[in-house]
Amino acid sequence: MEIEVVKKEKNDLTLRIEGETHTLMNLLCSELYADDSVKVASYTLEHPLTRVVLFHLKTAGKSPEKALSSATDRIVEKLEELKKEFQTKLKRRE
Amino acid sequence: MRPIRCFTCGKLLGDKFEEFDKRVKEGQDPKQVLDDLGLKRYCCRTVMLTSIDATDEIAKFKR
Amino acid sequence: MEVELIKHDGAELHFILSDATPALANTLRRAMLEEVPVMAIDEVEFVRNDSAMYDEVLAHRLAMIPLKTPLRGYVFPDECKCGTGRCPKCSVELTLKAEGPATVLSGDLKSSDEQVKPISPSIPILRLLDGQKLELVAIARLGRGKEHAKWQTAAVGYKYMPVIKIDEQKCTACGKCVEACPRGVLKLENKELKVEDVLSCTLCKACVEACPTEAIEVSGDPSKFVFKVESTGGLPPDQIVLLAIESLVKKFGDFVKAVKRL
Repeated sequence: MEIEVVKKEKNDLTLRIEGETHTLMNLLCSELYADDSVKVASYTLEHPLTRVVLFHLKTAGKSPEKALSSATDRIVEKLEELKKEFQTKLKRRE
Repeated sequence: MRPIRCFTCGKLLGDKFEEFDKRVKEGQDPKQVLDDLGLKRYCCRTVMLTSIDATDEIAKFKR
Repeated sequence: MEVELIKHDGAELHFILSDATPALANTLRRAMLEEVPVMAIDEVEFVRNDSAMYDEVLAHRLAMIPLKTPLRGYVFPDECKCGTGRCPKCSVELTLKAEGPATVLSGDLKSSDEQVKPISPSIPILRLLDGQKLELVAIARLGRGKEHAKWQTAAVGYKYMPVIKIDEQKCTACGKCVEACPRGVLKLENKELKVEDVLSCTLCKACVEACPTEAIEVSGDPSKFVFKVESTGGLPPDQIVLLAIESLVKKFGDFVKAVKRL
């Protein structure tokens, strides 16, 4: 994953992410909207076959980087929870 | 040669042709044979029904 | 988040994921399709090929053969210290030697690691005529489904959990919906309409259309998902789910690290 900053202002961030698609971005954007300080979180694929994403984030009252890292932390927490839940159900089945 | 995997979903089909061809030749209903082979999706079923083995005709020629 | 396993055997895993979002369900599906590492033949060296089949076509056929993959037994070639992609930590050699007349089967492939071999020994690779010889060395490596379909470990799909509501006051138990349903979801029992098998429902709403009194309502629950994971055989389906979640955790971890470096 290679990230390039296209635009960076106080409450406005545009990144160009190489090597990622919907798999990362869809969940990230939907999780970002759980944060009230996020005004816009969206992404576009440059081309369906190239795996290059333009990611746009606008916030109010919080820096975009902070919103990003807290959203990612929440996602990782959820995924870990899901993994644990899955493992316990598998064990119970055995 | 017949395809190894389903073009659409990637399910392994290569090892199922022998039984399929044999049973259909015996006069069994292809629908029943496909069901018995556990092929539920229509992508796999299409591949099984429509692919033709032309190896023996082609094998005579040089590359 | 809650998981309920419905069906679990060596090839298939069906489960219900509740208290989730559509974004998470789709991300999980995509990760299972494109992020789970599995072995597949990646490079073929031909010593001799007398058959009518071109080397490239044969190499592609070999690549499509699903290989059994030991869990965490191998590293990716680009992460391996050897740097060549040919060492025993990141690759497996499968040799094939055959002479016609014969149908060469996947079982004829001799693997350098007993754990990595075709999942079925009876997949026909090609047919050799009398006197034709074939000799080759195939190198299998770990890869991901996003790069090539040969590294795709599973066919994964999900749907919203079907919710079928029957208005008992409007229902006349005429049975038209039971006839209309292609999946046999509904059933008449003592002049009362019952939902027999919710999970088979595909939300096609044929029953809603057939009902003359508008007594049935069918919808999907967007927080509950019915997942079907069907492994191609390389890895057990429960491990595919776990590996997919792990790969997502790593993906998001990498992302947050990369963002912090900016």
